[in-house]
Amino acid sequence: MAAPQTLTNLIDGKLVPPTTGRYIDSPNPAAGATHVLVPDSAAADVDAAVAAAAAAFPSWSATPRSRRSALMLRIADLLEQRIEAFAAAESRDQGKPVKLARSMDIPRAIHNFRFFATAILHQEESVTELDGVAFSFVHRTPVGVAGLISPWNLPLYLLTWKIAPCIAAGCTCVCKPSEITSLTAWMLCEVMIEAGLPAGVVNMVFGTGPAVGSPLVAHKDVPLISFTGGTATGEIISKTAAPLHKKLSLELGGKNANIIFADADFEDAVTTSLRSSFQNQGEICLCGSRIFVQEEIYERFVEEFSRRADALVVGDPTDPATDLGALVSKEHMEKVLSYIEIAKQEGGRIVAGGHRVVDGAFANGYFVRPTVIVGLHPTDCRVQREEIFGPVVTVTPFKTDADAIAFANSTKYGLSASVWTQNGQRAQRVARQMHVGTVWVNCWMVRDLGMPFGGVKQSGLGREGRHHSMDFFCEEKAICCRL
Amino acid sequence: MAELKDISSLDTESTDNLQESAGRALESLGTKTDGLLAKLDAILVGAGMTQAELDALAEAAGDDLDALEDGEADGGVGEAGPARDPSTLIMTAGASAAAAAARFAVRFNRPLVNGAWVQPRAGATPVQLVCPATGEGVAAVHVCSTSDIDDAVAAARAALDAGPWGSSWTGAQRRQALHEIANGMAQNRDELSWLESLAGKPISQAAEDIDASIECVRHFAGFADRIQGKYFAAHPGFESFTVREPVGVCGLITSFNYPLQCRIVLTVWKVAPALAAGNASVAANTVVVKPAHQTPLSTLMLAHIVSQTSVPRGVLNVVLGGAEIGQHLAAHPGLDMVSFTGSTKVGRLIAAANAAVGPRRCTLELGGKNPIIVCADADLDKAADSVVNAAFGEKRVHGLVSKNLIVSANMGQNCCAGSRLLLHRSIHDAFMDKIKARAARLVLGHPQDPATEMGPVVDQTQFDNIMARINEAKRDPSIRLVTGGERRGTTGYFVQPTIFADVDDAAPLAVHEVFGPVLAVLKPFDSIEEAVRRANSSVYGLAAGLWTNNLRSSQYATKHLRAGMIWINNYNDTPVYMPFGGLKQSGYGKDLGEEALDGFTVLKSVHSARE
Repeated sequence: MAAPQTLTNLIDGKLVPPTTGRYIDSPNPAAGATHVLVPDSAAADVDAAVAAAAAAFPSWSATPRSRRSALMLRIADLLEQRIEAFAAAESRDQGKPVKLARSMDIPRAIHNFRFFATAILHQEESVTELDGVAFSFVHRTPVGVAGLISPWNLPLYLLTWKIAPCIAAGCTCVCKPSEITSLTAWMLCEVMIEAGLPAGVVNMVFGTGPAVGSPLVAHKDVPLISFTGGTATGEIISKTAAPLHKKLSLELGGKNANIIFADADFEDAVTTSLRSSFQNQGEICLCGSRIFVQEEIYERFVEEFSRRADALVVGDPTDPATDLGALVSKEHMEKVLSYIEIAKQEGGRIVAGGHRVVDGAFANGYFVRPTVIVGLHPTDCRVQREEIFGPVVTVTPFKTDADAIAFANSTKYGLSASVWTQNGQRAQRVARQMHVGTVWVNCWMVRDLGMPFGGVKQSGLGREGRHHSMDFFCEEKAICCRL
Repeated sequence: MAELKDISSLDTESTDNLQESAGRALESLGTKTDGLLAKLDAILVGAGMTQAELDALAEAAGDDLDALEDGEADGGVGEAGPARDPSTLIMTAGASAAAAAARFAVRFNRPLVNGAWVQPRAGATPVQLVCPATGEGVAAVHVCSTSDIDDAVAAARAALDAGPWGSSWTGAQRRQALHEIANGMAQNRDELSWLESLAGKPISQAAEDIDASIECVRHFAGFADRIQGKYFAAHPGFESFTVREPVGVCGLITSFNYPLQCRIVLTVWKVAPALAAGNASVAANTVVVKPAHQTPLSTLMLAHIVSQTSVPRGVLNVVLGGAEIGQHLAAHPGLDMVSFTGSTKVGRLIAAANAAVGPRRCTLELGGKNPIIVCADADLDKAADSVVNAAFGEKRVHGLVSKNLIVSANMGQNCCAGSRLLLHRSIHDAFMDKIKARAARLVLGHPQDPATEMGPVVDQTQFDNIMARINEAKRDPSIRLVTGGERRGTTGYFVQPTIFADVDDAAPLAVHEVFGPVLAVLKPFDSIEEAVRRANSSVYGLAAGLWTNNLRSSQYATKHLRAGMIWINNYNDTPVYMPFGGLKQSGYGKDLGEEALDGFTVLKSVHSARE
């Protein structure tokens, strides 16, 4: 096995080691052995990065949009040229199948840059005339230095989902990727340098939440905090940022319902539900971890769904035949397995999977079979209420539309939902009653970046997307000129 | 006795409704019954009665009137009593028409230029407007000379360049003025409805049109003080923005050969956004309106209402006349734009006349041969109600439609009438039974009878055109006549609601806009893809209807139908906030919606270097 790779921070356009001189072991989840050494940075590194971002802000915010756009398109082009290397690194670092990284994570990162690079060219505000008295213009002004904190499940995908709108809007940033999955973020630093992005526009400080995230969130020169991750961490961030009157964008957890009516296209519903349950090992905040199936087709669905779940290939993430790779860490795997035990205690019956995979080559990796649980109370148990964030899904029958809606809305989360029906009236009616940020009808995780994205209830605060991210990273100013 | 049969087939609820509306009309009549029976004669002749039937009914009507005046009418409202003698019903309905006639008279019959009603030239002969139900003259109208057009354009120009409207009025003032117009229309709702009904539109539907027109004016009033440009912060070295300004003097022409379609609603669809669109420090639009020569009276009443508001004279001018006057206006070099609603054929002439003095802006809202697709999974009863309404026009159905509606297809004389019906094979026969039964139940009658669901078509020319299309289809052995197909009565231009089945997609009846109460049911379809493909096989692209509860079918049709307006599980509802206008040979430009303002404004781009 190759020696572990040592990462560096990106501060003011330079790749530098952490001031602490310490590094965190980051294992390859499929092998269980350290493959990357992640800087264990501290507040001093954050201060240096914020200073660089603040210094870069006046010039970057005054850079013509066309120039900002061109630089971002260059970043996207370089990413695209290196898609194989990025996909392999993402898979090795996170545990996901390389085919998924190549088909979803990295292409989406490229798209994030291209989408916002071109969207800002069409950004427009209004100008009104007040009855012969005055012209009023709306100026949109970037706010300043943003702190961008991204999670470990879709590392480059979700980091660039924040960096791209941030720098497109004219803000500069200090990023803190998850210390568990920092490799592709570090590779992105090299790409941004090579693309000619001015020094200080994007800074990257690697390390843990307490050591790096906390000082960043509390920093007096960082008026914007955008965070994607767990609801518990989101709560800590809110408590720090709110008294400082920072703009906050929080994209948190979910316990998303996947409602399948008897009149749905059965084959389509089963196929997509397998993805929405187990894609990326179930480590996507949008995964539909609670499947509710109308009773007429419930038995048939459970049989077909569990049969096909059992047929999914769990294995070597580099193998193109693999459907599910490894969970991201040992701790996370143990948490997921503990929920399977809780399900059994709560009266659940495991009809597929339900255990770790420890055969031969997988012995040291964090592999769990896709797990299907039936027989649980539709709402009143931990497994139906708490986010597991792994390849574990419950399937529960329902009778009426009203039941399905009540079950779906019963958790503290409100991120997304899927509704499967061929009846247009029902689709509209049920979708309107889902208390979530996104409803998919007869599909899942189809993402139009022009649409508002975010959650309600404990799933977050604010929306991201073409207009919504611009609203977050900019302030509007009215300038009223007497005629 | 066809009418009597029709009415006796009404259920109890319908007959009660008839009594109720007749009773209300009579109450409003008060004691003015002198000469009533004489007026009834004319009306009933119009409905196709023989003299013998008339005499019998007139006697019954006299008794009925007495009874009503004694207070019996009060008890009739909403009570499910036994059905009354059908002949009585006809009489009471006729009485209400006479009631309306007694209340109103045609007050305005001349062009309005620069705030004054134009004096007829010496020796000029007025044009008689004929009631299409009776063939009797209802008003004599003084048409314009071409020099009147020049005067109207000059007045509009002067109001724009020199008057307060174009130089000092603010958006807030224009907003207020539009509300004054809407208030005036509301106060004169009954008279406007009555004027509309003179050209054949059933008065209950005309009243709905007036309501829709009022809502349209109020909607555009809201735009008057917030016409916006855009601001672009694309480059830090420049201030870049756009200013939206009025286009100038607008020629608004509603068809001169396609009667009736272009009535007050469609006039208002143009006048309201034109007057709303302005820019306070620069100008606002002024207009010259030419209504269809068969239907000018409600537009003249509107002009009168405007003249009673704070809107300065010359801002709205109305010219009258036929094709010659329309073409003279379209080709007038003093206009800044022309907006036309009417047939595709005339649209081409307008566009050519406009281009000859242009390049100049032109928007066209033209004809349609609008398909309605009914899938197997649709709610067939609701769909059948809607299809009959879309093809022939009747009262609002099911409360499906919102208040801002043009619910009636106006005897098929409506650019968005549903005239081609595509049925899924599995429901074809059952659905045909439903629409046949509904068409047979439609109540034909005098337009001023509140119970009337279908009036006459507008004039002899239109009547002849429609009957020619019907007869052509009857001669085609491959086409099956399902119901109707004949004139109704011997007086007036009544055409039975007519349904043909098994019509080939390429048959003239399926290709040409008939603009009358004629529905072509095409051969059945087997898949939504086929239905949409066949629906699109028309030179027109104005509107299309779809009845389905299936999500995939509705999404497929939404995506692939080539029409400017797609109605799903409803038809003919035109909310003021939705842009309306066609594709292909149905024209270009939009009425309604914020997009209507695009036609009446020009954009100026300002690019200013900083320092």
